[in-house]
This record gives sequence, structure tokens and C-alpha cells, in this order.
Amino acid sequence: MKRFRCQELVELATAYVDRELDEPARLGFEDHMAECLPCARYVDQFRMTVHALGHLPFDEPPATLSEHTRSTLLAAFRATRPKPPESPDRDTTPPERPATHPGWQTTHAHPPALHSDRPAAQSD
Amino acid sequence: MMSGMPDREETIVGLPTDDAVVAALRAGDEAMFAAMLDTWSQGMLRLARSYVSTSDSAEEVVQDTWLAVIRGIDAFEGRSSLKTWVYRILVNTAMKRGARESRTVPWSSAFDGDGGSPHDGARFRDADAPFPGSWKEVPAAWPAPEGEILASEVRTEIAAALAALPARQRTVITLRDIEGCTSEEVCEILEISPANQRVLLHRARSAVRDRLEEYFETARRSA
Ligand SMILES: [Zn+2]
Repeated sequence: MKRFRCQELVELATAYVDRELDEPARLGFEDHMAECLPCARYVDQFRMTVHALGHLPFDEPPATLSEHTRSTLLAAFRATRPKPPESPDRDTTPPERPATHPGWQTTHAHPPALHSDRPAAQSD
Repeated sequence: MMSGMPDREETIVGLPTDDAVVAALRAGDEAMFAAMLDTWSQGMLRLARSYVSTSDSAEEVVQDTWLAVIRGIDAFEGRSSLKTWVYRILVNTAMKRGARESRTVPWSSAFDGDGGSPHDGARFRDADAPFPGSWKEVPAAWPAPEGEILASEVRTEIAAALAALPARQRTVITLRDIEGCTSEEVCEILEISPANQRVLLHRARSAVRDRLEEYFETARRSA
């Protein structure tokens, strides 16, 4: 088990709350916190901060795209990707699924890859 | 399709798998494109806003990103997730725009502008003092109820702390803690190493925590 000074422990707070410490480091971290009120308090406040960031309400504008931009983009989509005439009309309502996180909810069809796609728009 | 619904942002619309979405877009399925727009644009605007100086600029960045997606979807090979691919286009578009507005320094200049560790020295005893590396002063306790931290004044403090961060820290903390991306996704989007990602995130979180500490301290003294 690793032993930490307070200053070292504070520098590892992100790795700890994100569960990225290896086992000896995590045990040393928790052992230190059990005996050190300032560090326990610091880590608790650090956690509260991260929690608060994840639960910020965003009621300030711009909440979303303006209607103008939205219709511009839909028109651009129609112009660039005309629908083949033979395909039948689809239900316009996308399937609903419960979301675990409001911002990041697509199913990952592929595991994270070492070499990822280059976006086409990235010309320089 | 959902225009005119006042609660469009509250409508949680899940998207099917990347493969299904990409196939639909390539086939000209406008409903699928609209669903993507409505599901992702809000988070994209928040991220874009961290690079550019006005909400109008942010909206233009997001619009340009979607236009690039429409044009480039045939080139998507599925080696990263679709969202990572879209967000990488967004970050590149936003950085170019931000550079024109001189709001941001180029990402490639790495960590020059990010300052030192937030806890260097000051709070801890020197190496030659008794108990080196331990706290000089115990951090003050914060108001206990969890609800307190989401009070509107606190949210204002958090927003100010985020706005004051160097651009790269702001991007990483926005993606990780506000948008809920994994560290792997952030590394892919920003093309940085896991170690760099963690350093940037830690500095950003520390700065936000320190801001709240100052706020609660001031509030206690004036109480
Ligand atoms: Zn300690």
C-alpha cells in the first residue's frame, strides 16, 4: 500500500473520484483519508463539485438551435441527400429509448478504436 | 417534425445504433437527421460557446459542423463512434473560429498557457517544515445539504469559474463533467493522451472547487 502526503493526495483527487487509481494507490488514498480530516473534507468537496457540474441546469439561452438555423439545416440535408423516390414513407417519430445521460446517449456500435476516423471537414 | 413543441429540449429522444443512423442519413432520411439535430445540438452549442465569444458565433459553429456532417457522412468509417466523429468536426470548426476571434490559442501549443498545478505550495507545509506536504490550514466545511450547492448563486459561481478557465481545460471539463463523455471519448475528440486529459481535467475541477471555496468563505464571513 502506498503512503501519501496531503499535497500528493490532493493532486490525485481526479484519478481517485474517477476510479483510475490502481489498487495499492487506492488503498493508500483511502487509508490517508480515514486519518486526515482536511484531506477527507477536500475530497468530499471535490466530489460535490464534480456532481454539481453534472447537474447544472441550463436554462440560459441558447438552449438549442434557433428555428431558423434548424430549418436551414434540414433544407441543406434535403438538397444534399435527396431521398430516393422508391423508398416508402417512414414514420417520422424516431424510436424512443430511455437515456442514461442527457448529453451522451448514442449506442456505441463499435468499441473504441486506436485509429479513429478523420473527419472530412478537417482540411488543415 | 417537432418544431413548435415548446418543450423540445425536455423531450428525450434516443437514437438507434450508429450503423442504423449512418445508413438512414446516407439514404436521405430527414426524420433521422432532425432527431440527431434535436438530440445533440444543445450539448454542441455549450461546447462551441467555450471557444467563441458570442452565442451567435456558437450557433454558426454548430451550423457549419452539421453542414460538414451532411457532406461528409459518406466518409465516416465507423472506427470511432458517430458522436466522437461529429464532436471532432465541431472542435476543429470551433477552434478555427475561436482563433479568428483571438479567443483561444491553438490547441497544438499544448500546455503553455495552462499555468501550474493549482495547489503548488501555498496550502501545504514546505519541505523543511515539520510535517512537510501537509495542510497549513484545514479547508473550511461547506454548507451541508446537497441541495445548497445547486442554489442559483452557486451555479453563477460555477459558470464564472468555467468561463475563467484556459480554453483546453474548459473544453475537457465541459466534455467530461457536463456532457458526460468518457475519458476515452475526450482523448479521441481532442486527440490528446490520457495523461494530458487527466491533468487538464484535474486543473479545471480544482479551479472550480477553489472558486466555490472562496464563495462559501465570503458568504460565511458576511453572514
Ligand atoms: Zn491529508
